[in-house]
Amino acid sequence: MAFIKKASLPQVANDGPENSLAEDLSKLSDENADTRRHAVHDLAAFPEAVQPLCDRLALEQDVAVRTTILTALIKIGVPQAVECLIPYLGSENVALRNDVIVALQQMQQLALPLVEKLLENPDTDIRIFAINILAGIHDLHVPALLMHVIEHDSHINVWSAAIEAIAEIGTPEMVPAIQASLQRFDTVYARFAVQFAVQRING
Amino acid sequence: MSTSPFAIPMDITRENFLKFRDFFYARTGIHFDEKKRYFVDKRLSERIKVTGASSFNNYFAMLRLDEGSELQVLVNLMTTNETYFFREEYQFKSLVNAILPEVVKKKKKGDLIRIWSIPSSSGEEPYSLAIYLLERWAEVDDYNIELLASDIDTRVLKLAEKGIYQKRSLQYLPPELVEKYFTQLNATDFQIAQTIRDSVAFTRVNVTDAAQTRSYRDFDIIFCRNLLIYFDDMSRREAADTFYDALVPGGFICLGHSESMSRISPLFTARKFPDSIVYQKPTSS
Repeated sequence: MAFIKKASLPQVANDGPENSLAEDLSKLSDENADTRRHAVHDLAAFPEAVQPLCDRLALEQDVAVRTTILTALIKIGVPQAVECLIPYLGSENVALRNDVIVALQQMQQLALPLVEKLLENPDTDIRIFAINILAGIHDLHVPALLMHVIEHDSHINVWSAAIEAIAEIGTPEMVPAIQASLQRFDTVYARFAVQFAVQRING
Repeated sequence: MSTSPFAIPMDITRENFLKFRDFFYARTGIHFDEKKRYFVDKRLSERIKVTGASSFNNYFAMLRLDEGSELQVLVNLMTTNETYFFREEYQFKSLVNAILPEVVKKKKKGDLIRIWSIPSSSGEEPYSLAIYLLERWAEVDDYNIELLASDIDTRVLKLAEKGIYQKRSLQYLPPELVEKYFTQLNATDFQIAQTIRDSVAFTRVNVTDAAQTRSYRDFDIIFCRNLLIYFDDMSRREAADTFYDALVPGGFICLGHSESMSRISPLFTARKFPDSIVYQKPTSS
């Protein structure tokens, strides 16, 4: 029965000299994905690495490195990180776009001012992504932003995305305004969406 | 979890709570929302009293200058460690019926299989793994198995190494296994066999601290159940990164029944086995 052994951990120096910012930046384009990933880990300590990390995102094919870049940007947590991620909402790469949406959600209030501006974007897809992001941001301001979309946005798909989001975070006093917005999009689908949202809000 | 006989001092204001919460989060990755305020305030009060700090501000100043021992005491008080043997047994079934058969496909007899249990709490999970493998995995003798168990709480690690449990912890173990692997010490306490205690190495680690987890590598399987639910989004992402680095390509991670890696990170692929859903590190990106 002595076949199960205590595991051992290799000795790894934790206090060894760290790479410099320049060294880590140069490794962002290394051929080896693990090297790139470890460089990204280290760069999470440098706010000045935001732009190079964002730029690398456009080229990076390795999912693990891409995920680590987004984690580093969230960790650095400066408005510039939000600003440089927003253009990726227009990417044709669906996986990258979805990962960016999640990252912006996880940036929480830091992302709010710039994401709020996207609600005025002429591209309906971008407005929908902005609503998806807002739905994940825990801020008292978010329900009012979504209600504004429900009352004013002229595109049914954007309106519908906002109805879906408000179904999750809305409160009973919003119900009359949600029902009133049906006057602008009175289709079978719109009626169903409102009915679902109202049921969900009222429990 | 211990209960405190101390009343909550009036000077733990909401502002103080938030200040402490941010500090504690930055140092440990553990986040408390406002619903946990009573829980946190009560334990802070206990430490303020015991250390003689006399006020929150004095205590907090001391904590910030402390080299880690007082913070560790707080970590031990603030983490919950409720568990028992064979908890969520369906995952152990999945381990022997589905996960290990896949793992050994890439190995030859005599090769090493490394398993990491985190958080280990007071040892119930890693010891359950050892017992389950011995009892329910027919190929157990064909491989060298290493079990590592880790927790951020040094108090529970000491308990784990002693391996003494009360009857309540053993309630889901078949009586014949209690008989086989435990010695009854007195009316309430049972100690797990020395051979099983010798089969698990216990270490203290903060899973969101990349420097601390740098040597945790080459695991085939990780059990990380009911830990990520205590973390916020950022700490979950960091933990997912840690597990990605710690696993071999194709390695598996088992989470608690209410947890989903798919909501945390795209690094892993969900695998549906008959007894459970587990997450796998891709063999290549």
